[in-house]
Amino acid sequence: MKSDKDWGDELAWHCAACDRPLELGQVTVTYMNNSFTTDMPRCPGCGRVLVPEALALGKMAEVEKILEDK
Amino acid sequence: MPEEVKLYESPALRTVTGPTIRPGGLALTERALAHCTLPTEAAVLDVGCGNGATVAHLRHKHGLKAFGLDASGRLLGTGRKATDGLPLIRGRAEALPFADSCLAAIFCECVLSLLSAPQVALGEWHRVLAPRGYLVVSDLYARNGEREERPASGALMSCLAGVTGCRTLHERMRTANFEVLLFEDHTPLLRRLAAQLVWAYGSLDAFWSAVGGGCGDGCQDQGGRYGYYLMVARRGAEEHG
Repeated sequence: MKSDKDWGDELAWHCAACDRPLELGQVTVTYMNNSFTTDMPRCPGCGRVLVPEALALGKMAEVEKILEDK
Repeated sequence: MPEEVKLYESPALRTVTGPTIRPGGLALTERALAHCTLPTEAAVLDVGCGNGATVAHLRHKHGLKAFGLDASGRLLGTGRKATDGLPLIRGRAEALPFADSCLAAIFCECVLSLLSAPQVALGEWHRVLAPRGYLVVSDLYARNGEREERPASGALMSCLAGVTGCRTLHERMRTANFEVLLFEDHTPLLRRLAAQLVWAYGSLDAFWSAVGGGCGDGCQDQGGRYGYYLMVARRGAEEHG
């Protein structure tokens, strides 16, 4: 699990809608009726989540592949 | 000689599966129970009970007189620590310390493919089950054929060790004089577990590193060679042998 320190780059982002800095928070990702919970950078105002590229192309893509039985 | 790595004893797996250590957890147990008529206080046995999570569930939620048997002293120790007084016995699935025809049901979840002599075990389960007693099995199966994998000594001992296809499973049941009442595919539960492992560890490779062993090619398989099933069978009416 990444700590605040590991998320340095992503936590430097601000939410475009709320103009607030992102904070690390628990997020539940759901795909094909399967839910996975993890900490990700999110806006404390509107709750929008920043999905880092490495996560999207890494384990998130692998999880999708497994669940789709590809 | 390297120490044998037993996947089912690994805390790395338990962190993701919880105490039941299998795809689907207690959900498939519950589904099987819906197909069985078991009176309160009926004597049942969980073969390969691990730390006894299912035994505790059967006793506390269903009022069954449930026992557990496992070959792993490590897992039984964890179970005894978690629930004091749980009747957990160390022993082998092929030689049960029970009298003939004394059990109303046997549960064997994610264990059958691990046994070195599954047909012997089925014969033994037939012996201890009462006539028309239930046998509940959930496990992996080979979806594309009848291949049976057995890793060399010292390799990872996991649920892939003796996976067979549907035809072999049904033949084994017939040979042991069990009548199959229900056979359902629950492969999405296996996929979900694999996905949860990737989510928790970053990749399956990282998971196997955490377990402490390699897994040949089997567990890297994402092409759907393996499925997961639930079977409910009954001991045949006529006498065995």
